[in-house]
Amino acid sequence: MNARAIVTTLVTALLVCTGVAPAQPKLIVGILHVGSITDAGYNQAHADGIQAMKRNLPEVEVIEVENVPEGADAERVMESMIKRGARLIIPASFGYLEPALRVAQRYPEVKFAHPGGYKRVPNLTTYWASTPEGFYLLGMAAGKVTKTNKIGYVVALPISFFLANINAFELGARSVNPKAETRLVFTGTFLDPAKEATAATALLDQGADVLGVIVDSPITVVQTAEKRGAYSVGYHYLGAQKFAPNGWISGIAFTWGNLYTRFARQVLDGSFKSENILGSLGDDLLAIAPFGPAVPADAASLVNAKRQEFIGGRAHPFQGPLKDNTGVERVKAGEVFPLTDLGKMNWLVEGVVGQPR
Amino acid sequence: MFCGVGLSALIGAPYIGRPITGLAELRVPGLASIPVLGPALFVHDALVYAAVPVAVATWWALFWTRWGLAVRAVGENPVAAFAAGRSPRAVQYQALVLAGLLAGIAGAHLSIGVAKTWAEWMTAGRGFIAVALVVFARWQPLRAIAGAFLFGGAISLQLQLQARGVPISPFVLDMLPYVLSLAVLAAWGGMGRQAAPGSLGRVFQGQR
Repeated sequence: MNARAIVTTLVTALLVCTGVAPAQPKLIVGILHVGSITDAGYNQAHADGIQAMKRNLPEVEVIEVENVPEGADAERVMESMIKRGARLIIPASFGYLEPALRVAQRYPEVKFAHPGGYKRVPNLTTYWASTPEGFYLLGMAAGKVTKTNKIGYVVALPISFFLANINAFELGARSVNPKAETRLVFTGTFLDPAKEATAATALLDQGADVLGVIVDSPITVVQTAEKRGAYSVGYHYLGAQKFAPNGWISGIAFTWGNLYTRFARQVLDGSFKSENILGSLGDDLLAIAPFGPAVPADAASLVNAKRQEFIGGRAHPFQGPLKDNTGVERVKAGEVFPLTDLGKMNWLVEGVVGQPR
Repeated sequence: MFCGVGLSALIGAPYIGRPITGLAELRVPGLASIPVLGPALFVHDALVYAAVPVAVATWWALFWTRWGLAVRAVGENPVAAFAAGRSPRAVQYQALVLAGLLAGIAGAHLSIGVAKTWAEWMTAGRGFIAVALVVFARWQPLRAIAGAFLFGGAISLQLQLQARGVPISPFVLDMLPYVLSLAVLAAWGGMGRQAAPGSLGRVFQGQR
């Protein structure tokens, strides 16, 4: 054995040893969920996003915690993630904003990304996607499918962003079906399947033949509609149609995978910066779920055409003149309600049966 | 209570996001087709029909059987019951298991009867309304039937009123069951105290 062979052997042995030694992950990402990651809704959309990030960046490790209450518990969970080495934290619920801001100020070297937040600090970025255009499209599809011209919506709370979604939905429905009416039931909470089932049944009993839902998990409402032979539209997550193989119309869903991959890459290469990201139909944060068998082909092509108009900026969901459901003019002819002011939309458009507060 | 919530979350985790076939609706032949009253009273699953008979059976067991006498005696004065040869602790545990069983069935009904899905914390504190119900009923199972209809009706009514487009704020409607509970507790509070078992909440320090 000559000297060269010995060196080669040593080098090989060294390589093998370093390869076998447990490699430190390049980045640990911590994500907190307010509910269950199999809810086919809000939480599963975030969980799917983080899974997509893991597929794109196998060297990144993930610490995922479900059912974290909003408040001091969330702070403790974030701190324990940081102690375990997390350098990017995604507190994936609106109510985690204040706890996340407090933790972010204590750990300036850790980066945070918060969905829907309205406050930022240098190491906390915020992101969301604009949903009214999507709801307008769902309204068009539902307006074409409904036979009773009544659509029921089970909504958690009358907060302005949800009212904006409902308004856009009703305007979309009216654009193809002037007789379409949207009825609302607020359950007062983001997760109470028993109340959601009761609300859904009450709406069906009032003659609604399409049900929509703005709570964390669409399962109960979509399933209740399917059992009664009614149609349904979903929200949050692309996989909800498995609960309504016959009555499914469509849904809009958040697809966070690419965004989470970008966040992780930015933390890895040091380019992470605090900004307010707002996705739209035209980018990769928002998707329209495939149409179900109930949607006729002409309705599908109408919806797709409108989608292109929204993406191209040639259409606006809140194009005046608009009256609210008490008859007061809210948007003048020729004007639009700016999408940046959705937080001020405290009224329901004509054709919606419900109380905005 | 939180132990139960955590345990159910642990066991229930695989059921989240899975449809449950649940209990079938049983239509009472003939009666179910009566307008308004038919769907309200005669199109339900088996557990709904069982609820009233169970309350009546509880009343019968409490007031017309030897065992019920023991339960009430232990509630009023465990020392006296002990002197009469009853084991207060055994009676208390029997009552506890039975109450837990019934409450468990009630909670399960939310999942397999009403929503036909399962989610963590889906009872959403409804059990506390049962406490108000006991005070309302003044520890009398027959009165509890009326109370259950009243409280359950209030929860359901606010959703029904919204679906009918009644112009009342959803926030006000959402308060209905709680306002009702408070009103009942305030109005009947004095009498409730007299109706409550004398040794309620006290620990029996005896031998068995």
